[in-house]
Amino acid sequence: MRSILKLLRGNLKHGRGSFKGIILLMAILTFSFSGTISNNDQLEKAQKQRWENADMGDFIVYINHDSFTDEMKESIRNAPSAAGYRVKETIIMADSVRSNGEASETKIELIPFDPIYNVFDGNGKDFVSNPSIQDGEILLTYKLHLFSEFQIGSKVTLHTHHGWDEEFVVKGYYEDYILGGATALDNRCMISEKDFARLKEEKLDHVDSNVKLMIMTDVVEIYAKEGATADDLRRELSSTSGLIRTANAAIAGEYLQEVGAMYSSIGSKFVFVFVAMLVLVILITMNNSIHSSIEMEYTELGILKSQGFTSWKIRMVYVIQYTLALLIGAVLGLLISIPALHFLIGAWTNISGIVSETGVSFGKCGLVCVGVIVICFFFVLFATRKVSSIAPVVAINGGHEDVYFESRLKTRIRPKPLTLSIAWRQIVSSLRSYVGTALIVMLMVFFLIFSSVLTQGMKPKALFPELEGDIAVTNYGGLKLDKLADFEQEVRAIDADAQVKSQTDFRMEIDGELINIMTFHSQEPVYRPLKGRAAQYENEIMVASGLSRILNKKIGDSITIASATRTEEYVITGYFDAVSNFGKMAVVTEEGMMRLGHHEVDVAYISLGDIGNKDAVISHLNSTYGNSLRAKEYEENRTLAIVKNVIIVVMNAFSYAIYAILFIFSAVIVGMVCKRSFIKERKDIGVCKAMGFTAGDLRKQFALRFSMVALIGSAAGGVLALFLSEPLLKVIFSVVGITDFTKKYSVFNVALPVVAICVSFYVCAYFSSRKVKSVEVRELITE
Amino acid sequence: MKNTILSAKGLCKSFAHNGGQVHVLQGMDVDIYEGDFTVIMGASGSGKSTTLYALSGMDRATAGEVLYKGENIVKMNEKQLASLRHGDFGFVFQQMHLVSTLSIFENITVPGYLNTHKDAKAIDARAMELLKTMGIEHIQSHLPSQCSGGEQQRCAIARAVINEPALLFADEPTGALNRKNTTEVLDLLTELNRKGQSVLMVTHDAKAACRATRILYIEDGKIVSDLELPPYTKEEEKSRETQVNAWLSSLSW
Repeated sequence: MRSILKLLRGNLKHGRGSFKGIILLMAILTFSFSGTISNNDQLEKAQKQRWENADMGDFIVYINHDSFTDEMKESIRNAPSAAGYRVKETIIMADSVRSNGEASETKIELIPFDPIYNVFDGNGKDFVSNPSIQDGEILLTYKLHLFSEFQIGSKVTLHTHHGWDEEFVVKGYYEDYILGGATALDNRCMISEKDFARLKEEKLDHVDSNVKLMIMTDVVEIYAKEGATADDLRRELSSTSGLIRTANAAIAGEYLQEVGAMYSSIGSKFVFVFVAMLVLVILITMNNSIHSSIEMEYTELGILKSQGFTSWKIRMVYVIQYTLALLIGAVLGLLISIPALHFLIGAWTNISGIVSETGVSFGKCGLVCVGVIVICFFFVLFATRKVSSIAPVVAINGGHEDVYFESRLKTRIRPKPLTLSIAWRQIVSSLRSYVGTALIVMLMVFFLIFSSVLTQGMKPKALFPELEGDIAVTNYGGLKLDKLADFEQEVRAIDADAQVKSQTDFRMEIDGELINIMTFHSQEPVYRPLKGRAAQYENEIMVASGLSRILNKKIGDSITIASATRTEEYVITGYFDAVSNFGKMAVVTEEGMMRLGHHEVDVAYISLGDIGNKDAVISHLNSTYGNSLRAKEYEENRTLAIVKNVIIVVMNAFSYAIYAILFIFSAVIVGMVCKRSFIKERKDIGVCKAMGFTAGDLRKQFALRFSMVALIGSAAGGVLALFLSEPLLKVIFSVVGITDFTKKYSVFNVALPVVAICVSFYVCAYFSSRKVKSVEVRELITE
Repeated sequence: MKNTILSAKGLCKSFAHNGGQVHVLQGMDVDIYEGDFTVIMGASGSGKSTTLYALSGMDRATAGEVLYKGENIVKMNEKQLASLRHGDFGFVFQQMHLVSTLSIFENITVPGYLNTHKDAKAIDARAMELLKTMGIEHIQSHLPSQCSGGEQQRCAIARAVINEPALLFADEPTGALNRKNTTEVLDLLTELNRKGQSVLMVTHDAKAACRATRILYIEDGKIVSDLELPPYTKEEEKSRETQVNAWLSSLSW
């Protein structure tokens, strides 16, 4: 053991075996995964703790207060799997609120003040110790702090059937751990219990009201008995009453938690692929390093063997050396993570809406580190097997390493361009040394293309297809699906080329699942079929591909949809991709929607032929329909804008982080390979200088060599991405209901990674080869 | 009257050693003439290789000047030196120093390709001619590691003369060769000189020195003696050896 340690010390002292490089790579790797693992872990912990404190139900049903019948309540009480239930009230505002007198395009929901929720202090960093609220004050969900119009002290005005007559002053923000994440479009805000009761008493609209501006929703939290699940509850409740089919939403508590952690879990899956790739890169780098090391120290290893060292002992030196480097790298990575995570998890509150601990999850991260180290340990053991074949006599006599190790492949040296030609020759004549580097580049480019395709796929427009127009019409009960044609004609009386688009969503039960059924009145399809076709007849339906998997139904199969009043059969005609509602969506025709007894349009948009007619159309509609709809100039939904912004920020952050990490990786790897090449070729460099090459020529040669290797690797990476990106992305995005990414390839997301990697290899190689300058021709002198 | 091709004045070269300075060349003055086969001799450590490297610009002198075509080599920058190496000077090392990843043919042609004004085909043709002259045509596609020492050194000479240099430097070119290969290499250098190639060679082998038309003897970094000889002929080899050995003996060799 002592002899092994002596050799190890010698190796470390002389910087052999890429010790520092491996430390750096492992540190980056550890840093990469510790951020996501810890964030996920801390968020999960915080979420769990909040839900336990709040004693949330296992199955949550959102239903209009007016529709929640005694029969439904009885069915819950009698359900074999139900241990009990409680009801919490929420007022849903149909119209966007005004902020400081200005339209805001933000819709909110109101709940009575509940001290179980944490309220942020003025800085938004900590919670106040004894939260309270006065009448006339409102506590907003935390995500609204991102809007300038919803700052503390702002005045929020609500639209009731009495007009814009309810005004609240923003007192602060609270932590809505249920729907406060950027993944939910809901903005639940708290007002005092007294205000809530007053609104309920005086301003509430009902299901049968002509105008529905303020509707009461009951949040029914149902508790499962020991051993029973939310699925059991849903099954039982859907067979005994109309509760599920009448509900606006019926969701398992766990599912709601998953929604809150959606980005975090997508990130985790994404980082898992990234980490797997980085581990592969480290293994290839170690393999390269070990092989070069054996090649360069061939004679010394022979001498060691002649002195009585067994192959096993020599291999152990390598194993200990690399394991030690990985261990130091892991510790270093974890240490760097501590301050970085403080910032990252802190910033994640904007996405999750929940404040969680900012520390590193040492247990889980440590476990991953140990896993990586164990894999590497066995890999080094495997990679050093060549040591056994070194015969002392052959090695001591100089062996035949030049011939033995070098490739016999040759390409012609061309006078023009000479540098490029020699660089290429250096590659092919020592192909094995560069195969590893090319493989690494292949993986990097694959991952960059993969992440680029992912970023493109995550573009908000791809995730949330939206109808748009010049005028937005919010329906308060005046616009029916079967009257849309008349409505369009009415608009065309003012603007002959106007077109009306509309959207109607309604949650209904399909085979026990509560699904968002939609219908669009639009000239262009909002969701294009991936396979099959869109629904054309009243008994046809196009389902999200995620939903087809949940229901286990294919094109041509029949499904049964149950609304509160009717049950109808539909034939599946096609699949589409959707992220909203985690892909639990389906599209029917307008006739198909009416067949289920739902006639009301949710929202309509008018595209004008002449924008100059805008005010005339708005004024005509508002005066004709009075309180039963509201027409106004189209503006993007602000809450959806937050979600979109969050997606853009998260995806950009991921992209930049990946590019940065891969750039550092390239620099380290090129540095390591360059260093080895430099040691190996030191004499050749001297000879070339003696021939008349300048240091600049030789550095260019180095840089070109690595760029060409990068180009070859990039091509391979591109091919790999073509075949592997899609299945991998399907796995990652199955969580949110997206299954198709094939159409998102572009010159940009393929060419950019290739150019980035080749340029970074050129720059890093040019920089790393600066030692060429230090090679003196006089080193060739034999005294 | 001979034309001076290279002229050194007050040439000094010192090395740092054990915290002090070792002065290898101490103000050497020397002229090298066009068409000569000049040999530098001297005891081990006398500074003969250092002189060769300083004169050829492979190493920079600490002080003094080396004039070539009126330009001081000592003051030249890296680019100018590189141009000198692939244009005007050729160099043969004791240990051959061929580029291990290039074939014998490519080792010869690459320095030729550095002269961008020359036609690549002409360089290839000259390389082929040199391969024939050197008797290594049959191994042109071999890697250096697949060739014998003699073959490698002949390749190194061909490489050094591919650009038809004004002056060919050779640092103990036979030092690593056996007797047979030594004779072959010396014959090649003699033949080149006969065709007009100026040669400056360092050797400690008296037999090799007999090929010279001029022998310089160095002692403690200074030229202490200078022997002129007629051009070498095989027939006179014995008498030349006797003359050179006698001269060397007079210098306590």
